[in-house]
Amino acid sequence: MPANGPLRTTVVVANPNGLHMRPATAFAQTARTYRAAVTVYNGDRRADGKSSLDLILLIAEPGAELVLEVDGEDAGTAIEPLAALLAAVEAQ
Amino acid sequence: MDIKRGIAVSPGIAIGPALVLDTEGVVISQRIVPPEQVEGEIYRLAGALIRAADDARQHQRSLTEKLGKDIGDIFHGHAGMYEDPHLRRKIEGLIRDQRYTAEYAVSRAIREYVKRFDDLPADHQFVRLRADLLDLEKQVLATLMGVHGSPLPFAGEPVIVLAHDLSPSETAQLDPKTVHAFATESGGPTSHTAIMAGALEIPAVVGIGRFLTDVSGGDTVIVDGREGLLIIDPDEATLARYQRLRQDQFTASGSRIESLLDVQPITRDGVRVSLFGNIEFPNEAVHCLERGADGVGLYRTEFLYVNKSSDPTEEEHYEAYKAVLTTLGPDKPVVIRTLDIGADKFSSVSGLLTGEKNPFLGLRSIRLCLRNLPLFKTQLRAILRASIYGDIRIMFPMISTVMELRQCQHLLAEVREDLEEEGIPFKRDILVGTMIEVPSAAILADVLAREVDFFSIGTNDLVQYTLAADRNNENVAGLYNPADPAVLRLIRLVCDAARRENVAVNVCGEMSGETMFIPLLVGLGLRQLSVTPRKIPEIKRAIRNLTVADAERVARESGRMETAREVTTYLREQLRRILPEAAD
Repeated sequence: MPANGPLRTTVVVANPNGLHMRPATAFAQTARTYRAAVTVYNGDRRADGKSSLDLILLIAEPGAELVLEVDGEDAGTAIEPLAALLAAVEAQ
Repeated sequence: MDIKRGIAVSPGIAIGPALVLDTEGVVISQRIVPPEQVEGEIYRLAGALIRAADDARQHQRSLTEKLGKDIGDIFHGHAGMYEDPHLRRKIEGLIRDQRYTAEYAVSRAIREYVKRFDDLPADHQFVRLRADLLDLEKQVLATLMGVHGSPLPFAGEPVIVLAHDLSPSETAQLDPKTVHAFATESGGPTSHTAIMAGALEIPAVVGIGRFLTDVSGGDTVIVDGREGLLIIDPDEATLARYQRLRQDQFTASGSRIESLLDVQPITRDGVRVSLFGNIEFPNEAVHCLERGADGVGLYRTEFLYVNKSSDPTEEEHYEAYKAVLTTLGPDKPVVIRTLDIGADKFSSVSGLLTGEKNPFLGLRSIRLCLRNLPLFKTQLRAILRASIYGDIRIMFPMISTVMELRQCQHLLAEVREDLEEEGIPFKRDILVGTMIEVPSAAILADVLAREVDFFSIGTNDLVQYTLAADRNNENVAGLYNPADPAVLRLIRLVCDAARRENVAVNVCGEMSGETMFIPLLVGLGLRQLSVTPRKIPEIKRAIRNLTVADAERVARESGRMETAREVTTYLREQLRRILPEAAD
């Protein structure tokens, strides 16, 4: 499959605790299973989606609009599950 | 007498001697290395990060068992960060470019990250991450500098811990039996101190501001977790008043739990589900009572053995079991699980094995007991002797064949004979069950059902063995999932077999403490659950909002799915539908 340009989508953080350690760790773990490069932007802050540390440094509060960018062969399969993780509300 | 005001984050009253934590930071003596030592520093860094990740995973394991997944997850997150390539690259960059020592580079790198949180207001929800980062720094530095071991040495005396702040790693090393309360200078309602205090169910007051210079270790202090007060060196009148208050109070967290105390776990269509508590220490039995549990569904007896220089005597076993039975009274069952660990934890038999390659598939648990009859019989004798105090029941862990089970029953019969000959009283007809956690036992449940009075499904191990995945191995932990269709089929198999032979079934793994699985478990036919006491009110609420009809539908639908992911998504949806308040 020829690589397309990067895919982007905007996701609003719904989790009442924001993108803190637990969702960031879950996201990074999932992101690492894809070959595509994963980047998450919070305003002018940029994070490598495969690094849980980078992700928490975004300080993404509930309501924050994040831009998810996925670039690579499996970008098409990656983008939805990753976007879902960013938008997810943690089940208790 | 000095009264300090702070933020009340966990209710209750504690009175006791203060243990003041040393708040000195780590001093980094050397900052720069000569060029030829740079690679050596890179190597040291790598080792320290690996070690720190291992320690974090160990905390995760032990705390998940004791306090639940939420607390364990904190350390799962920490482990992920120690292994984060970004962190490593950043620190290595500082070592190579600036010729910093590994220690100095770690500190510089982390402090740069910490700066991002400096502008947040003190009660911002992300401020806790700042504490996490500083904890990471401390742990890696401790490893690099060869400083290990608990900064909180306890000689077994109950204390009240006073500190500037408590990091996750520090609180992970606490012995809940001896810490009665926390009070810290900094921190807010969502700080780690608050979370740990909530999980341990002990009073805590945070954000007091500077006070450590006004108190010395050993001073009598009072922590009032309702009003948010720390009272140093109370006068007689105040001390007497608080002693009375302490006697009158539960440490339950809030009226929501108190109001559920007398309410039964009955479904909307009138089906009663029994809710039991999992305990490790006799003093946790009272937590089960405070939460309105129907009894103790799992008493993990390993803690009688760990960290001791010699094996516990029959008397020590007997006193522990008697204490639990006395607390719960004559009618509430107490299910004792016989010894369930590996030989490495034992003082008397650790010579038996040198370097087992697969400890989880090796000589542990019931297999160890069957090879060491004096050890096993000691425990069985104590259980039978204690039986006169209440409704004690026995279950055997890790049973993988009918032969093993029969050997255990045989031994029990021998112990009964011995006690009779010695004229020691005991109940003849106590109920005996088996854990179902090895897949072979689940598959042969119909055969095992004819030999026992009850089953207890140990989902933690059942999931591991069924999917052949170690939940603590990052590389395969994703496979470990209680929602996996294979696991669900085995549970259904066990429940069906038990029903046909009229044998009761309980679930005592973490799965029964996760609200999302309640409709499924009830729908598969389970009418008994055993959970960590803290979770009882939540699970009670879930059961009260459920109908068995709905639950059976959820179980049927889940049974049609092919992947754990589908099942999880479905169960979450169902949870939101049935229990909207529980889903958040």
